[in-house]
This record gives sequence, structure tokens and C-alpha cells, in this order.
Amino acid sequence: MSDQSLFSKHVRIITEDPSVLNEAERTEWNKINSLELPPLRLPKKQESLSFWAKLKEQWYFGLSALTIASLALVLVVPRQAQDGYTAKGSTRISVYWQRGDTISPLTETGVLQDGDKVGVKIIADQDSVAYWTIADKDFKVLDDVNDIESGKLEIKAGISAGFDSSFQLTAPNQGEHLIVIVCPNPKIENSGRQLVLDREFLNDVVQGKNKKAQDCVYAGFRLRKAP
Amino acid sequence: MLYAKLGGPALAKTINLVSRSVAEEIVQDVFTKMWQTKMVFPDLKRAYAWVYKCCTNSAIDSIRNHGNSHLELDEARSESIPESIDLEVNAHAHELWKKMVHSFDADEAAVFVYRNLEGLTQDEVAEVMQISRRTVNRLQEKVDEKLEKLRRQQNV
Repeated sequence: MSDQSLFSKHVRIITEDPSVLNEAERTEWNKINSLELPPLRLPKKQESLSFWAKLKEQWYFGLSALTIASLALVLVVPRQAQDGYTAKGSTRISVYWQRGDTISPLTETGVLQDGDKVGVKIIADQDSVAYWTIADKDFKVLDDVNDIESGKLEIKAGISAGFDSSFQLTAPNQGEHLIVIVCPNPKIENSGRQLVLDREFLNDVVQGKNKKAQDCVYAGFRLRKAP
Repeated sequence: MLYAKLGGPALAKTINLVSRSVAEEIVQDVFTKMWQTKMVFPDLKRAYAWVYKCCTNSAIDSIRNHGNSHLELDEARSESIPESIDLEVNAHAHELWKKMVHSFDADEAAVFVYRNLEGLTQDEVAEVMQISRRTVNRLQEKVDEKLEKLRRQQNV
């Protein structure tokens, strides 16, 4: 398959002068020009809704929102079965990688190839929260705060846990490092406050301020050597 | 007018997924929606990314609602397969697409189209779908798993 995607060809065709297009883009451009684009048939402007119709619409919307909220309140999520490991000591983080059907622990850098998947297992001696992210060879974090926050993992003391998603090496080799941060779950009564703390903390991590929270474990694993 | 600038590429892209007549309807609907909702984009690229996503999603919906008849190659579509893409690889991907379209959910189907049929990078998919690269990665894993399952079933 050509290195250039259909989307990038189209973007170049739309934004650049035809004289600077490469051969593949020019072929695509010719093809687009040979298609006869039918004229756009725009509908007549609809009359605006009457006052009563609007009120009715709002009423239905309010009712649906109320129903969803009630359902959410009574919904009970079944508890997942837990592994029976017991932590004897501090936090342990193990990284493994998968190629095809084979899963192996990550013990040395340089074995990983494009398409390999990388996963993490954590076992902590107290209730904790964990995050993961990817940094490039200069330790510049490649994810944004929302990405990191969405991968938050809550860990029960002594129970082995893994992040929902594994990381797959598909982008060009940037000498990536996998960074895992495990912190004791802060016992703060106001849950809103805890979220703010998390975001502040992650922001600092992303911005490379090296702000270290007490008692947190930071682990970096070099996944690939930079070319 | 945006339609004059983006309509042709959008039609050429959609014809890769559905028949010409359905593709024309989809492109009409997408631009009508853009006009009705008075959307404003910071630049042409962002506008085309939105059109590209809407056309893909509508094509997938259309196939799901009307079955594989919308997938049959017609003259216009077979001409529209980009020449720069290896024809054998493309034909294989389209065969897979026919078999798999109903077993993917909407997002997985979109990722399959972008990655396997149209050769977008993960970053481009993230840009078009307005999701993070991590989410693209997660969806790609699910797609790969389903493809692997199909491959195993075929080998049995």
C-alpha cells in the first residue's frame, strides 16, 4: 500500500496548488475531477417550532434525563472476581509484551517490534491509584492529561491489577519509554477535591516539572532504542 | 463554497465504501447537515476531517441498515480505487470488509476503514474521529482480534 493515506492525499489536493502535487496525489486529483459532482440540493428552511411544541420537547427531554438519572442511581455493578495474590513488600510493577499468541516479560530493550503489544501488571501493598503514559527518548510525555487520566487504575491492596488497554507499537520508533506512576489512594472525604488533586499532579508530570508526590512509585521502562 | 471544494474528494472517498448512488446521497446529506447547523471550521483541513468522518459513518450505517447490496462494486467504484494502493492488497481488504462489516461496532468499523482500506496513520484516525491516539489504539486492538478470529475460523 502507498505510504500516503487517502485522507492526506485529499487534504493536499484541497489545500495545495495542483502544480505542487506529487504523482499519487495528481492521479487522485484527476480521478476526483472525472467524477461529476451533482449540485447540492439544500432543503427549504423549516418553520420554527411553535411555543407549545418547544415546551413539549423540553418536557420530554427533562423526563428522559430524570429516567436516566434514576436508573443510574439504582444500577448495581457486579463485583469482579479478584486474584488472590498477596503483596509481601512494596509496590511491584511488571511489564510484559505480546507478539501473536506469545506473551513474555519485558526484560531487555531492543526486542520489541512494530505491532507488539505492551501491558502492565501492578501489585501494591496498600490501596493505590496508577496511571501510565508514554514518553519519547527525551522523556517528553506524548499523551495529554485527559488521556492519562482516562487510564486511571484503582488498585486494592495485595490484589494484582492491570490497565484495561495495552499499548501497541505502531507509530515510528521514537525511543519510547513506558512510564507508570503508582500512588497510595488519598483518603480524602471530598471526592471532588481528589479529582482536582489528580489533575494538578498529572499536569505537573506532563509538563515535566518533576514534582514528586510523597509515597508515589515512578517506574520507567525503555521500550525501544531510538534509531 | 465548501461543497465545491470538498464535495469531490468526499464523493471519491465514499464511493470506495458504497455504490455511487448511495455515496451521492450520503455526500448530499453531510453537506446539508453542515449548512443547517451553520458549522464553522478554523481551516479547510478541519472541515474536510469532519466531512470525511461523517461520510464514513453514514456509509457504515447505510451498509448496516441495507445489507451488503450497498457493498457491491459498481463501475464507478472499481474505477475509484486509488491506483497508488496495491490492487491485490486493496481487493483483499475489501473482501475482509464485506465479511466483517456486521461483526464490528460502529467505531471499530470506522477504524477498519481508515486503517485497512484507506491507509490512515493512527494520528490521522485520531484527528478524523476526534478521539485520542490511545483510543484509536484500543479500537485497533479489537479490530485485530476480530480479524484474527476470522482468520482462525477460515483455517479450521
